[in-house]
Amino acid sequence: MRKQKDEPIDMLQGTLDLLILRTLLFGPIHGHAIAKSIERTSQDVLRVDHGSLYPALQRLERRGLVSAKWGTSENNRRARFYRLTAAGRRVLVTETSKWECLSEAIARILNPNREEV
Amino acid sequence: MRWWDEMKYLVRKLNRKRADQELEEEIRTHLELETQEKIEVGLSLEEARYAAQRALGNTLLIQEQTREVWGWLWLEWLLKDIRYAIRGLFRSPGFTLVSVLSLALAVGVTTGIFGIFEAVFLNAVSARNIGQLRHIEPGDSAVSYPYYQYLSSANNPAILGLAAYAESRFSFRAGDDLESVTGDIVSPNFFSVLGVTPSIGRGFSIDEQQPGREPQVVIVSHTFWKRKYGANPDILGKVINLNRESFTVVGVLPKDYRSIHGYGMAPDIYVPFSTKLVGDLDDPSLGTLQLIARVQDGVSISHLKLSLGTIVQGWRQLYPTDRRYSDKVEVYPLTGIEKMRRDGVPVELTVFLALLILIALLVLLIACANVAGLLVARGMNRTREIAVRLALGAARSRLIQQLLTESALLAFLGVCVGVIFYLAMATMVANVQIRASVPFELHLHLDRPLLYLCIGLVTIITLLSGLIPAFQTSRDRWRLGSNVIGEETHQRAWFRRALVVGQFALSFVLLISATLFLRGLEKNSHVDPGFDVQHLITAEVTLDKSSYSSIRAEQYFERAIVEIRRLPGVRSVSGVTVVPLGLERWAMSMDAGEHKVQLVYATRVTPGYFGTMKIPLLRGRDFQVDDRANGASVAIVNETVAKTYFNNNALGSLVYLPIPSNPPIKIIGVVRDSKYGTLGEKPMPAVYLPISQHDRALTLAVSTDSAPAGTLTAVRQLLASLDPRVPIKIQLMQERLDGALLPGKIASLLLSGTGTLGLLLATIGIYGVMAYSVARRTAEIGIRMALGATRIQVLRLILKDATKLVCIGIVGGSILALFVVQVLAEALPAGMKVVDPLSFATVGGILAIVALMAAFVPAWKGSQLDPNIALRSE
Repeated sequence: MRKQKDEPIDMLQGTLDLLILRTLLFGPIHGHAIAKSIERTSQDVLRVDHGSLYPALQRLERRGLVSAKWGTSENNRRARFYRLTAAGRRVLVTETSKWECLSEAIARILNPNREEV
Repeated sequence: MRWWDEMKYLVRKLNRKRADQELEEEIRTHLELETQEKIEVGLSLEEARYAAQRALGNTLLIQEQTREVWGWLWLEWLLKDIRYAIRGLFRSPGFTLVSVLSLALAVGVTTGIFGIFEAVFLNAVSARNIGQLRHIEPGDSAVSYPYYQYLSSANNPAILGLAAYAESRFSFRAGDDLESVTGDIVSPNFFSVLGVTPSIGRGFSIDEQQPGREPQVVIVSHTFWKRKYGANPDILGKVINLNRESFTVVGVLPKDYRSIHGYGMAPDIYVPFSTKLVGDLDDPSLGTLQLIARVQDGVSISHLKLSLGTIVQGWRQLYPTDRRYSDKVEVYPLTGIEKMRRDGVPVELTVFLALLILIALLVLLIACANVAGLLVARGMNRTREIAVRLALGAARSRLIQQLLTESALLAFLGVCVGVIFYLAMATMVANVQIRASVPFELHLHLDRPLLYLCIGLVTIITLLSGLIPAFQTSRDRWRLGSNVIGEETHQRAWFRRALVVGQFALSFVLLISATLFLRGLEKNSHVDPGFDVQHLITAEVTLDKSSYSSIRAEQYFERAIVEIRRLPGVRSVSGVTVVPLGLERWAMSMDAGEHKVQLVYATRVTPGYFGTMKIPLLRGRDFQVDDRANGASVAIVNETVAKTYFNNNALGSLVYLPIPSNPPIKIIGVVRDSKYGTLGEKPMPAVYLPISQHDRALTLAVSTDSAPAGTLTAVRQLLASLDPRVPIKIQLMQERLDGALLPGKIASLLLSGTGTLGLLLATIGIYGVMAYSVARRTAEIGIRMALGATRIQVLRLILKDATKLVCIGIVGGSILALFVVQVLAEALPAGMKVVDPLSFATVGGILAIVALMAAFVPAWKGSQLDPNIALRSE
């Protein structure tokens, strides 16, 4: 734990990636559903830029964190369904803990009094 | 395996059209779903569509960004680096040319020399799974055909196949063309035991092995096929005439077939055993066959010897009078040191060739050092460029990648050109026709492990030295912008300077070795062979069995000797089976009683041979014409035999030799030692026997009063008039001797060649170092000149530096050479002084002159600098 705190955390760039991986934890879904799911779960606090969703998905696929298969969407269209791979699951775990460290640290800086309460 | 998954992903995306289509479809689906959702919220179709598109953003931009993910970024980098490297190499063509040529020469020479070594000694026999094959010598001797059949029928479970072969000569006739060709008479399973299949046609079939079948088939060598039939593909089924018998060609051996004899010896034809070719085939006491066996895997040599031993004892019970075979069974591999020792290959030749490989590797090292030096110098000149690029934000990893690419490209080019050199050399060697009694061919194979070693060495050295600037700049990063001059040149260039010193030392050693061999050769050519060379003509006569019965052959030779002696200028004529200092050897184990058995040189001679050769008869008497008729078994030995076996008391003693019917042989004379195999050999034991009835191949030695060249034609005409159909090979003894000196000549040629190559490379090295040093010191020179130094002083300053390097190199080389010559002494004629101050001084002088000449060019340039410009140079 301590070691991870020492490391510089480069999260902002990969935030969308992390959210996608997290969303896929519940089973394979297609791109549009990923975007909707993120928005819904964050209670519309986070708006997913649909435009950057697809390059992100390709990036994850290239790194072998997700795999994709063609299937049929709810409106009977061909759609690519993304699924979390074993490697993706591992990355999700480590990235989540990193993110928690980061958000905790930021929260502490922004709101130093809270901890003392 | 993540990189593997990534590769799969990228390969999938190679099909850009499909990938694009898929992405488009995916986006379309997304838009439709989004539109539908918006409609459900209550927007009109048009509004919904618009909103969906707005949420997604610019479709083209998405596609663009996605394609970037698909991209082969590293590949693009690599291509860019290669382009950059090629441009860089083209910018300095001199550097590129010298580096590539150095590497290529080194790689070509190393693989080539090793290829020759391999072809001659290490792996000199074509066979499948050669590790299973063994030579077998029951009783330390060649065996008879019945003996071979006896061993074959013994069905030893350890032996998968047993084949036999015997060297022979045939008179080959096609129309008027008459020629004496060499060939092996083999058991029909010979090629199947070897595991060799002819490239055209078939091998011998097993029913050609049945006794009494008298198979009239022949397999020819590729060279013979090319030479006699112009490589005509319709060769199969052709009938050729050998010893006046017709033989049908059933196969042609592969082009690169290396015969069982090794050492590049290449018989022309192969025929199965038949009584038509070998009249006394069934005589159990006549031994000319060599045996090879394919041994079951996992059978140890000692086990094999043991099991063969009992079979050999069985033979002795069958033929108790046959004294030729002891119970000892010799088993040894088809190639390698053991085989070379048994074949009596001179030790010096082996040492020499091993040395040559060492030298080739040294040259490779010199070349690598050279290129390393050039690369480091080039890198030094680029430190500024690299520092600027680093300062501008270039990633160090990218920079290293780029430098590596350039070095790798250089190594790649060097190796490619080197392989081309090698192939050219192999073609050249394959086409060399050495005039000898046995056809001689070398088939060079590219030795894979060695090639890999070369590639590895070249690549590692170029890569490492290419990288030096990248690491060096890291230390200098902060210095960017300061003038880098003067004192630090020295500490930074130490590596290059050390390389140059090393190169000179190695070149010195090489050249000293070469001169040593040249001197050895000089000495050898003055060695007294122990017989008269100046006045001798040799004529090899081969009679074939079908037209010459034993009696007729005897008559032929008697008549030839008498008639030649009548020619004007001829002093004496005699016959001999094996001429000394030729390529043929005849060695047999001599049993001198009391278990004193040793291999001796043997030959059969006619009465008067010692007179013809001018070999003094020390004790006893010469052979007489009636020695044979009387049936007395007699022999003449040389001094060495008399000394070592009989304490100088040889006359009248009895010895046993593996000859027909194996009688005790009485020694009737002792002659002076002469040279038999090579000029450099130590005194060898030798035994002379009288001519036997079986000798149909005899060399007539003709001694003349004056220079023999004039008599040569007369002898040829006379022999032709006796029987024009008999193949004859006529030669001056001096010519044969030149053949004996050939290995030494090749040796010194190769050595001085590689030595010169080494010197050339070292010269390039010192030129590079000095040119670089002058370039680095331009500003310094400017200051010196501005302060009043004359041009001569500047010239002297730079040359002093070069002289220092060369002197250290020569001194180091001399010390190294003192050790090397001690090792070389093994391969040189006995009694030669190996440390010769004169040659050390000469070689040192040549090296110094060449080096200073190379250094003078940049030094002169330096001294001609305009101080005004020099001062502003940095």
